[in-house]
Amino acid sequence: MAIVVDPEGLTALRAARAGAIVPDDVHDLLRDAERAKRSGDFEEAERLLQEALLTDPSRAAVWSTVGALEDQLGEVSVAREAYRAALSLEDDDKTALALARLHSSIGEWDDAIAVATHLSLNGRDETTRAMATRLAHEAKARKATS
Amino acid sequence: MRRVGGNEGSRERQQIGQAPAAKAPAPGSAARAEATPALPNGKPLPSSASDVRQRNAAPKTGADGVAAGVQSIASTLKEVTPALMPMMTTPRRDLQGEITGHLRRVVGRKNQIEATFYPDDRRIKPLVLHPQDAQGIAEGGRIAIQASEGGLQLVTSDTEKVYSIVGRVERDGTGLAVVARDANAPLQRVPLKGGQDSLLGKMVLAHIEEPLSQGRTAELASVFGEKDAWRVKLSEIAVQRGVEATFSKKYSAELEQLKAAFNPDKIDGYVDLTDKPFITIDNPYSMDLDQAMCIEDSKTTPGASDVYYAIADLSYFFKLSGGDAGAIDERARRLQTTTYMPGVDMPVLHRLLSEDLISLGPDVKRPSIIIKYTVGADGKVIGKPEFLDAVIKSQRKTNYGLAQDFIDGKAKVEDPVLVNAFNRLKKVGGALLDQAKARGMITAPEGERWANIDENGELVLERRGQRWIEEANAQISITANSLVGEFLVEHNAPAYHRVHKAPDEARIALAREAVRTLGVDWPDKVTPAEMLAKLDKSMPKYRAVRNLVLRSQPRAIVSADPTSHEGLKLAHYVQVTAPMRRERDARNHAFVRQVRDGQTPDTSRGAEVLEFAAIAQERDSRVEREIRDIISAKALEGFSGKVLKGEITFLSPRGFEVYFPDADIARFVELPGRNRLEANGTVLRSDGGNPITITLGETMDLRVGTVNAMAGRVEVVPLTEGKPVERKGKPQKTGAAQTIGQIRGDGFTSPLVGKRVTTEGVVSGVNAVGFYVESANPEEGGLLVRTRGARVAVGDQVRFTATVRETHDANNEFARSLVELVEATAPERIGEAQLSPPVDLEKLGPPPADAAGATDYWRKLLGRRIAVPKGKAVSPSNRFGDLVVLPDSWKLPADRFSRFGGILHKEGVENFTKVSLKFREQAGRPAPLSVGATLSAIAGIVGYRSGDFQIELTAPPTIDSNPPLTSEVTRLTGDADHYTIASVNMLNINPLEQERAKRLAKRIVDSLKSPDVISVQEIQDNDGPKQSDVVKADQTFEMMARLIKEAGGPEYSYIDVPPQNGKDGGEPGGNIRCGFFYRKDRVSHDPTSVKRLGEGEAAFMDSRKSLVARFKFGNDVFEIINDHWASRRGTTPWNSAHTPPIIGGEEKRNGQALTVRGRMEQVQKAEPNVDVFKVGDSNTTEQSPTIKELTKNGLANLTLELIPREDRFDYNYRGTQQVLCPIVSTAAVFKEGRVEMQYIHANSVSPLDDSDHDHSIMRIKTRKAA
Repeated sequence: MAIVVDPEGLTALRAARAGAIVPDDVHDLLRDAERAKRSGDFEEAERLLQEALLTDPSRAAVWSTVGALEDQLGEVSVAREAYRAALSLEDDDKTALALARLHSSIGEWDDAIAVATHLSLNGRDETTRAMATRLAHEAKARKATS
Repeated sequence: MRRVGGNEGSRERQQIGQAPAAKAPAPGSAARAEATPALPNGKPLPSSASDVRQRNAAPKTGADGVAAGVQSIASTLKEVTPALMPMMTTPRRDLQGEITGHLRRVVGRKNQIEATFYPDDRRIKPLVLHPQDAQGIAEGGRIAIQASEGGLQLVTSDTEKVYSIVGRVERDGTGLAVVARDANAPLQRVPLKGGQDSLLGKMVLAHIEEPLSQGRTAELASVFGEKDAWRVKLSEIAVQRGVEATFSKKYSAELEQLKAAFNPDKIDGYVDLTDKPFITIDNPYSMDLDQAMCIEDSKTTPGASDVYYAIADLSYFFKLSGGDAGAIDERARRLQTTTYMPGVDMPVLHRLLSEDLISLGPDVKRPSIIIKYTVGADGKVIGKPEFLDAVIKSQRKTNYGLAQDFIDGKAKVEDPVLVNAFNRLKKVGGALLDQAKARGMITAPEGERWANIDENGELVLERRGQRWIEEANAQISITANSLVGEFLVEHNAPAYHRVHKAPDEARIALAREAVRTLGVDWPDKVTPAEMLAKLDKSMPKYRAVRNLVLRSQPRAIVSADPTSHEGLKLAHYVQVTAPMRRERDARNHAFVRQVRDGQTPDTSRGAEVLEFAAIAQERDSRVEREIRDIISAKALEGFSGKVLKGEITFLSPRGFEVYFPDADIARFVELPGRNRLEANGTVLRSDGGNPITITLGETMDLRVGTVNAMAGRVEVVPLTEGKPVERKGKPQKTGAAQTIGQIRGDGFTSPLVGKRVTTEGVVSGVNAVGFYVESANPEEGGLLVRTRGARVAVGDQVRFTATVRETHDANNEFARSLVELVEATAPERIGEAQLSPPVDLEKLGPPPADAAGATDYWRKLLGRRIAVPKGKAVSPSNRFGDLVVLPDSWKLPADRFSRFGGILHKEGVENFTKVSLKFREQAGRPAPLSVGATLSAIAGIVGYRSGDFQIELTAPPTIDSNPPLTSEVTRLTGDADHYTIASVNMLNINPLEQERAKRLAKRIVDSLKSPDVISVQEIQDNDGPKQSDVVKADQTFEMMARLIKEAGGPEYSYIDVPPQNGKDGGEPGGNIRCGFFYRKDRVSHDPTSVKRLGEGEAAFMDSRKSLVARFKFGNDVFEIINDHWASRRGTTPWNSAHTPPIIGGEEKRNGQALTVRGRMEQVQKAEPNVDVFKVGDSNTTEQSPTIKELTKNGLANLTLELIPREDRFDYNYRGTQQVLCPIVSTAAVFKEGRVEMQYIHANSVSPLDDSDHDHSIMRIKTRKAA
């Protein structure tokens, strides 16, 4: 089961868990989720990240971590939503590049071009900007031939 | 990359950060092992560069105990006190982070009074921190919790401390206190030292001498008046962001001393130019006058002008105040730049210096450095500049407004000095400006909105930087900087360059297209500079277009790398003209003088200055962002409640920037909700309330709500309606029926990418992320379906719907993608099928010998089950389950095999005759395997990972044989006539890895036979990969020395020169470095010879510096250069579609080789009796162009000359044995036959984990014995 990321779903989850004791330190949850992911325990990683989302949905780092995990697991819709949520909260080169790659991986060429072009022109890190530039041009080429 | 070193006998180019050769370090200073200050009980002192706050002094424990404690703190915390324990780690930054914000947030929210950090070594007491512990720490500071002999400690450094405070004076017990907001901690109350009751209720600026002391006190610096509300606000912003606005006692004392020492009538060694009519021109309120100019008719070239550009001489004053070691210099170095705000500035120097003693004010004699150059009537510089140390006396202090009005005929000026100066400035500055425009300099956008504080204390808006005269005057300064740059580069000298790299054509193409999307033509051949010049302010969408054009440019940075400044279209640009507001300019002065006077440039502070410059840039940009918010809020104050037209000038998923013509101001507006950039890159939508559509360049209605200028807040609501963000729900359960072959495309890409497809196939394998499915038609191949928990088994015939994805490797952008299926519906079992026979590689034969052919060979097999013929391992297995085999029936020429049966690297010839295997847990992992192990019954599915094709095994293969672990023993041992030098890559060793360290130590004793000198690479600092302030590695070195002794070896001393924190690359937080161990019973070393080679050099940026040291054995002196050159990260995989191929780090390594060659040749020439050996990890092979360049003038390539072909390797890269640690020496030792060498094979052959390299050893016969 992928992590619930849509606003309605999160609201419902929160309501269902009203009164339950949940950990309230997102640092802990993120750290533990990363460990679980590295050891291949994806379900535990998802459970911890779901907790993190319920605890502090205003933190971009939670969303980008959710995005990366779901991306790896092939849950592209969830990953895309999570990356977008992260970028709406904070400009982050790494997340933007991951979103551009995700769009590209499923043939969303226009979106890939939009995100990569934006990152190419506005990213903070010169290396990432260069990668985004290449990605944007590749997506354009693929779009032209698709 | 410029050549470094030059001809024999020429001066070695010295770079920033490198100590001058003539200035030898104090005896023993480099040999930290022998010079580390210690407490009486022998324990080392805490680092002098850091402040340590420690609570609950713990009983002393051994390094092992501490290390264990640190390593497992995180896992123990919850068990101890799950409700209490906040932890501030993030996955990659254990035990480090923004602790201050964390304390405030977590402790405050939980109503807790403290946070406790528990190590699980119970001998160490927990570290208890209160929210107040965040006080005194500047925002953005990277604070660490460290474990040391004394227990856990909170550690911070000088740049993280809050020395200045702005607050209200209140009663505090019997005394007074300054009560202030803090960016990190709760409201602070800092006792005010010696304050009087008359200060009660007043806002003050105060200095805190010891910010982190428990008993800290504030000393009054200044009192704000009733009309100073804005000044208070702006000062608060600055000090909360880490700007220092006050001065220490030591600083004040030095200031007094300097004031007394400075005699303007007695400035020795400077020429007297006080009769020349210098003037200064600035803004009317400027007091820190950095430059004065005098322009005359050229005495040598008719029609030309001689420009005497005088720059305030900071260095002269630093010398009067204690130089580098003084508080005045230290503060300037740390702050780097003056922070300018409307009506308030926070200067680098005390105002007594910047506005009086040093300032080139009117009618006072001042020392200066003068750049004299000649400008022709056409604006071209004629000849070379001169650099003079001169005393000048400015005759007038004037301002841009008056000069512009005079030029425009709006002001009548009768003063002949000014009239002359204005006319000449107009002529020369104008000619230079025309030249700059002609060469394509990017011109600055129109003057930006800024503000000032008027006589009533009100913030008033103004526009800055608009006048022509300012642009023309700037060209006088730019030309001076450019000439300095050329001078220093011409002399191969170091400098702090202002670098603006050439724009990337591909990026410009993207910007061009985005501009065209806005309906504005940007022709292909028009450069960004030309486009900017073409833009007309009155054109529609002007600001949005201008932003896009500007953003196609790289950002300007300060660098030691002498790259061009493309924005100014200048080959070299070294800023020198504003030393009082930019400290590094004064350092560039010093370089100019040293080169001019034939001295060796002193670059010893180089890396430090570059780091402080980067910190200052970030700090000032944060302050500026807040001020811009305030200015835009102020501009919108009168529009509260109104609807304004606004032009969207910038978009991001986080929000948009809008320019309001009515208020003549731009402001960034955050958009709540989840937003997305639309496909054409110009539309943004939000679901945070009503849907909104915002389009770049469009003009729309926005309502200005509540405005709070002092807080910088404005409510801006777009009134345009929009469409909601498209939410893709659950993937459709159906899709167009497609065969696996149709989906699979060419394996890397699919014509159906992104499409929902329904397909059928037979399950051929199951793993942790999903299952493999293959077509009934075996030629169509198979696919990985990423879907967890699918209830399928091998042999099931299934039908399902999924999305086609081309998966990219997140870690290698140049790797191929792989077609996979994702978001699959639950597979419907429609039957059971017999799997077709796997592809038999025995029958198929090996891949072609060319990359394209081999890529195609494997591409066709992607997703297919294959049977690999019986073969031998050509790599050792590793902990990731990787193994490379060579099928017995696949043949290679005999000279491609090593003594162990591994495949040898051949320069320029890639070997494709091998098969990479991946053992997954599902298929069972065999015992560790060595090169030469024989395997059969190898079956798996072809995949693509990390830039290579790999067979994911579906069942455990049969291991027919497995050679015993190899750990060779050297035949090269030392005696009375021979000394030995080894090179050992320790693979990120640190005190947390005791067990591996023991194995390394044992190898050194048993295999290398305890060499006289051991050159080591990849030594990590005391806390290993933890990201902290720790850079010392004394515990790591001492651990290794102790373990060698425990393994039966002799006593070793060590040499370590720590790097700058985080500046030498490698694993983040590890601060790896090169070092030496040496046997004191056999060799001695010269402490003054120890230095890091490459400090401040561009080729060594973010890379390990080479460590140089000299040793003496009997009467023989020898020097070792211990390298760890730039990594190969970023190399394109052999099968990459990217052309041309990239060899990661090659350019850097080439530069590093030139520096090393320069050093070796210099010693060879000057001291022929000193043998020099270059050892270490070069990350390049012995026959690479880099090593050929290193040895082309006659240095000896010992690896090539002394090692037989079948033994020439020290590393195993994916089944290829190759050399990455070639050894090179000066010619004599090789020609005289005094050196022998060996690679001691172990790690490139067997699955050993103490290192990833084989070690090398040399034995050198003494000159006497020879």
